[in-house]
Amino acid sequence: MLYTIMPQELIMGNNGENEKLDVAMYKGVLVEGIRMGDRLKITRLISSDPNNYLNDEFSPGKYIKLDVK
Amino acid sequence: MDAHIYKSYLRNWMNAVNEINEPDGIEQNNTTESIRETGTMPLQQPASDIHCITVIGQIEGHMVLPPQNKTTKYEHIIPQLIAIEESKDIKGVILILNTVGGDVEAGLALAELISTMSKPVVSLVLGGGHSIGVPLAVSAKHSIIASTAAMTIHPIRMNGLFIGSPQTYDYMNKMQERIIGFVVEHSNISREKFSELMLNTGDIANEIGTVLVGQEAVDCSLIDEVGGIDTAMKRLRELIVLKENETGNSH
Repeated sequence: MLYTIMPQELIMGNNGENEKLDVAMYKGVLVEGIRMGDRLKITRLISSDPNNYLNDEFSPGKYIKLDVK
Repeated sequence: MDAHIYKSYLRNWMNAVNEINEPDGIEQNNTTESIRETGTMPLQQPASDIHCITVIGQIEGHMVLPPQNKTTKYEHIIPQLIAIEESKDIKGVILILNTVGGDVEAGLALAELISTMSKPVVSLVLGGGHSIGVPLAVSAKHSIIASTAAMTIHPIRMNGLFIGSPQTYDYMNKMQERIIGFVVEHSNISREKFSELMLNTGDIANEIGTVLVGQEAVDCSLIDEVGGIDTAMKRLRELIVLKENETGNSH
């Protein structure tokens, strides 16, 4: 059940234009991004450590190589 | 979403938190490379003893929301809270809220975890802390609101197809009571005042409820004070010292 000020139709209506996001663990930090082959273009960093946000490697727009097993 | 990512998530997270200053093989290679190639020495970031949790957009819980929603997922926040609680190096948490609300049970789950953490937590409402963001804001030991931030308190609603029976009404009442109960228990607002704000008809067009802006949230004792990042960090440091003195005295 949702408890929000956003109208239900705005939340549930999908225009289908958004890219699918993937999550990956990179150097112990969870990053969210757009998968491009074996790489991930970072869109968001999911971490509570403020220092990770100062780390250039994790900044949005950077590419990381995914482990292909 | 890949299950193995989450399986390794908590483990990696704990490692990252506990061995923050021990670089792994890759990082060492990068360091020597940057010294050799460019003559630069990467700056060593000191480990932060305060961690920051940001809750933005919709709080996503039992239901995956369509991708145009900006969401904060509970499966991302819960392991972080556990890792912080277990860490020896982290002393306090700052909870930044800018949320329009979301899943009732996800919001309450996070609020319950935060309110039962042994480490000091200070919450800061920026922009908006609406609906289920209200229990999240008051779950911290000390709550702060920016002078321009807003909090909307309104009754729980349901739309779409549902069975119109007295039981449905009771169920919604119970859901609402869970939220009211939590807020009343974790803030200084009285049950009467909070219910009055929730059922107010004069504040929002075509809608029941109240929008509290900055000082108004403090005036009704929902939030502890008006401030910004400086106030939040100051209060968190005070709470950390208080906590250290408490544990110091008990030994």
